[in-house]
Amino acid sequence: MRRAPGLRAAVLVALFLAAPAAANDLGLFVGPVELRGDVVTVTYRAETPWTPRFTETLLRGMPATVTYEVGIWKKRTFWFDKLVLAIKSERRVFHDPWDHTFRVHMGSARQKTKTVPTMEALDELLFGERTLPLTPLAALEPEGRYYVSVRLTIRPLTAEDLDEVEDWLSGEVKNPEQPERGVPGYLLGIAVNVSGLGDRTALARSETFRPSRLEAPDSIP
Amino acid sequence: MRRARSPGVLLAAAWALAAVPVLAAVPVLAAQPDSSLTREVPTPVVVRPADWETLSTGLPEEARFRPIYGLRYNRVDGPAPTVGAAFQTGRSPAPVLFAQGMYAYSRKRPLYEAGFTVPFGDRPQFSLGGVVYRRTATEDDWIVTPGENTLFALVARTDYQDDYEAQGGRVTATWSPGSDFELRGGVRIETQRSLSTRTRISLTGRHPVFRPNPAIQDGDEQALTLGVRIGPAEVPFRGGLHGEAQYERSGDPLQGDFEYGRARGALRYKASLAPTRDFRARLVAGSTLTGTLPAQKLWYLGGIGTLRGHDFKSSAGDQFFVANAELYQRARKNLYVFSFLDCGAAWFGRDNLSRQQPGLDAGFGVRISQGPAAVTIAKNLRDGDSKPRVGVRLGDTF
Repeated sequence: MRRAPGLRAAVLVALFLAAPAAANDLGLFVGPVELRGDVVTVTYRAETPWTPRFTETLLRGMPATVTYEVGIWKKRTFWFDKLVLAIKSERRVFHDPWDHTFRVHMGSARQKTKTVPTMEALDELLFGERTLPLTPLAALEPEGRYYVSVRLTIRPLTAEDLDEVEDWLSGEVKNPEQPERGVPGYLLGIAVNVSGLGDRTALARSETFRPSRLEAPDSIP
Repeated sequence: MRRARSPGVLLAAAWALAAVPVLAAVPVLAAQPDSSLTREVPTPVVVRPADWETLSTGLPEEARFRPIYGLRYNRVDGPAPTVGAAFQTGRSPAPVLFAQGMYAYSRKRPLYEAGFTVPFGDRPQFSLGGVVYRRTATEDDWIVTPGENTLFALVARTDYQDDYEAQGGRVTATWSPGSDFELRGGVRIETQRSLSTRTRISLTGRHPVFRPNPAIQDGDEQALTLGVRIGPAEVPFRGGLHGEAQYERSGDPLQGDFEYGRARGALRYKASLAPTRDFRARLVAGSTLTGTLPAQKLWYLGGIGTLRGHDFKSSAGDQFFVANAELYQRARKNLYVFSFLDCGAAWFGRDNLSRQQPGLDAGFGVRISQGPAAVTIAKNLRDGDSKPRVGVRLGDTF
């Protein structure tokens, strides 16, 4: 007797759909969207961003990049939501084995550097609860329906990072005219993903809000 | 909302409206529906920590509108302008939603294609897509791209692709755990019918008319498809490896007029051997594992894009392989000279590989930059009496 192909297809689809349920494994929470003065703010934190592999590679001296991307979206019925604001913060972390501190370069141009002494302080700096000013209230439609999205991406090792490590080890100055050496980029990408050193990312959304009904947090009179 | 109402501002606004009423009226009135003589005070600046930057490019999750327009020209459609729209995010190569319409002028036939892709999960490892269409289809996209074929048809009365009409739809499920791997399965249900040559217009051409478009085996096809890709979707400019394979099962367990199962795979490799030297290679192979291929599904070898020292489509079969290797040397800025070697065969019967004597061609060429145009001279190494063949490419080789 032949089994119904539809049943097999349904089981296959169910297996595929089961995977994204644990997508936010970084414990990313987007808290309330509030009004502070005339500015809309959002609060967010990541509770479980660390993994043994991430901690280990960081302590061994491998750099890591932590990126937050925040957006304000306007909901549209039966259509794609409209992106109103998009902002990004990128921080690059290095462990200094000599004095056992962590250096954090902030911004994509690495224009500012902060040094923190412990892993706990680093966790607080990168993943602790933050309240971020987003946009003036006047920039949003009072009765529009909006929400805030926060994406956290942790890249423990990138091809660019590996190039830097290779250059440092070999004492070479990079010459763009030279052909690519060492591990080819495509093989590196596959290896990084297979080894578990690849990107980890999570996306979380706030509750939907109407600007006209936003309230100040309790602690602010 | 606070509004400035100083006399100076009012005067300036009145002067601006009087001087250039058309230009000034639209933005001012749009911003201030209650009064045309006031202006909005700039919104207060939001002070954020210094490491936050505004992304003018938006976020990858955003579905952006993208117009679709184009023109295709071939011997069965004549000019076929395309107009449409798509919404696409930065997180998936496939549009979330798209619709396009074409009109094949020479056969007076409206064509269309519309579809969607639903990504599941934040990192969309799994997606489901569907598309319905009535279009001019070809199995020769791997030999010459539609864009290059259009140029040849317009300029040189040469149409390398054989076409048929396909009307129907397909549903595809895709699993892509990373950018370098994709597994997809789907169902395709379509009606296929023959098309005939309908135009002879071209700028130049050695022959007064286009070659005939071969008739296909008309019928309804219901097929299951399974495909896999390893490596990036396109071989990167700096080099890399790309592999893909597809299996089609037409007929059982579905219905339809055709009964076959065939597999086709392709491997592309590009490497930079030195700052001025590149190497490219490709291996494409196909095999019919069960049933009988209809005429439109046969594989052809010879000429452009395959065995460059042979006549165009000089051999056909339900089995084939072709390997191409090219060694590039930069001669001047944006000018490359290259030598190449082609080897391949097409034949009927899965057990007949040992009886084949694959074609072997060698030659050299000149290419402008990395792709736009190339001229090649190729010789069939198996036939000492054969004449060298000159070929022109208006796109990348492979």
